[in-house]
Amino acid sequence: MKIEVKHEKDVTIVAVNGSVDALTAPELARAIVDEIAEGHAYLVIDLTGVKFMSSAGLRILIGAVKESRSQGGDLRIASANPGIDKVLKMSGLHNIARVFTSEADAVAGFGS
Amino acid sequence: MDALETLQSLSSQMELEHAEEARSSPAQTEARPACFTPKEKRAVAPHGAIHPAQLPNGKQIKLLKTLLSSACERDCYYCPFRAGRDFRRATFKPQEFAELFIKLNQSRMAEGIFLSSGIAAGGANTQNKILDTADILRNRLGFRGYMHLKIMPGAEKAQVERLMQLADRVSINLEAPNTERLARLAPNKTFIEELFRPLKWVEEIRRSQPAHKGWNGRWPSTVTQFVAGGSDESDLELLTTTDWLMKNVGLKRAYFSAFSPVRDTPMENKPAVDPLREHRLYQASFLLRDYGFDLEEMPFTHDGNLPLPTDPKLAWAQQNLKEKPLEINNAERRELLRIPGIGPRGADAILRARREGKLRDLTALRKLGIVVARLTPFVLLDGRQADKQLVLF
Repeated sequence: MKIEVKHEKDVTIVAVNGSVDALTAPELARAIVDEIAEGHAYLVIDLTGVKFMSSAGLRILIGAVKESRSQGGDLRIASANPGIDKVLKMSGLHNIARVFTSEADAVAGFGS
Repeated sequence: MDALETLQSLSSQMELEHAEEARSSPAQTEARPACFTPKEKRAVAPHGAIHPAQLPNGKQIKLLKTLLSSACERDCYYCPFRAGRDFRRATFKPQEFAELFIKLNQSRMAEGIFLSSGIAAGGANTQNKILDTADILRNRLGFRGYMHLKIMPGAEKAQVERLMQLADRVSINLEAPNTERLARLAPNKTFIEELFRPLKWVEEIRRSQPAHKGWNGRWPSTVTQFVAGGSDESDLELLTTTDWLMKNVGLKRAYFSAFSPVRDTPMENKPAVDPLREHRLYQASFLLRDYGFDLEEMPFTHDGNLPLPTDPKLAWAQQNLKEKPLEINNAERRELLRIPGIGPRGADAILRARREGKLRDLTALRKLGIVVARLTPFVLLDGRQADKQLVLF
């Protein structure tokens, strides 16, 4: 799994590539927690490059949504991968966090 | 229909409302000399309108659970009282119901009330009927016992405030965890405006006004209920909303009613939800409320549901404690609470006992009232794994 973090104005984009499973999920959790701790509470998690996400990955996203909102921000998800989209819908996460089909739309979503 | 027949009709589906549900056997209605004949008593108890109930303070009472009216203009897909469903509707006038309840109360057949209603001529109008009933009971008939009153979808803030001055508990059923899911259950209810906002009002009133304005000098507690599985929602969605409500608007607890299809409704062919799911949701919601667990620690599977075969606390321990058992003699209270078999009372008993000396074996834990069968794989006692200890008896 590779994680790339970038900032666009007030929005922090965490782009993930590879598999998010029990082994790699803690690394993703650390990256997100570090960003929020530095005051970057408006987050886009870009899952476009994610091939597989286990329940451990799902739990990281749940915690990240909660943490960003508790800091006055929010978390949006970008996902163009049908497999990951299916997981987001099946788990109901798409009713908890807003899901966009591209990173650009997710970033722009903070303006709406 | 006489008043008791009306009551029987109005309370006939109240098992769907889980509020104050007690696990004990149904309340016994003693044959006391009173204004009801044995036949009349049979009409309301024990499996009719009156239910054994456990109050927030732990006291067991006989609770009359009923609607004021089964006439309803809403067409919620799951509901036996939905508009257009063919059955004989019944309605109490506030005075009529209040007088009947007082008779039941004086006969010691009912000690408290859970009062809801179908909606007719708008939520505010229906709320007024419930308010009138409660007002008559409290202020004209002098009833001082337990009242759980429903907030009607569409009620106004001033009505909610008045309700809070009369009730021991108020509630509004969210039914579903969010707007998207509610649309599948109740096409004419709005999640935020009609259901969610009143819960926020209750908390606003509790925070901004002195408690002596509430009934008996304190503000009522708030609960809500969900139809578990009714909208194909996940446990993650239900618990996300429950967790938020408990942390942000002072929700005391959520009730979960496993979906069960009702004949002659649009959802009559939808399969019933396993009642075990209801149980797992309760366990998880208590872990969030009383045991210091975070939502993301719940052992959700990839579909956002809790595993049905396993207690969520046990599932968490199997993932997190099996390789790193906790030393009972050093663990902090929040850590003790994560061990299967140890609840808030057990954790406090361990902390007290540790002041007297080390806990060295399972017998010492048993003496504290702890059921040790579930905890042994996850703890150390004075450095030794508890499940490796010789169990003599």
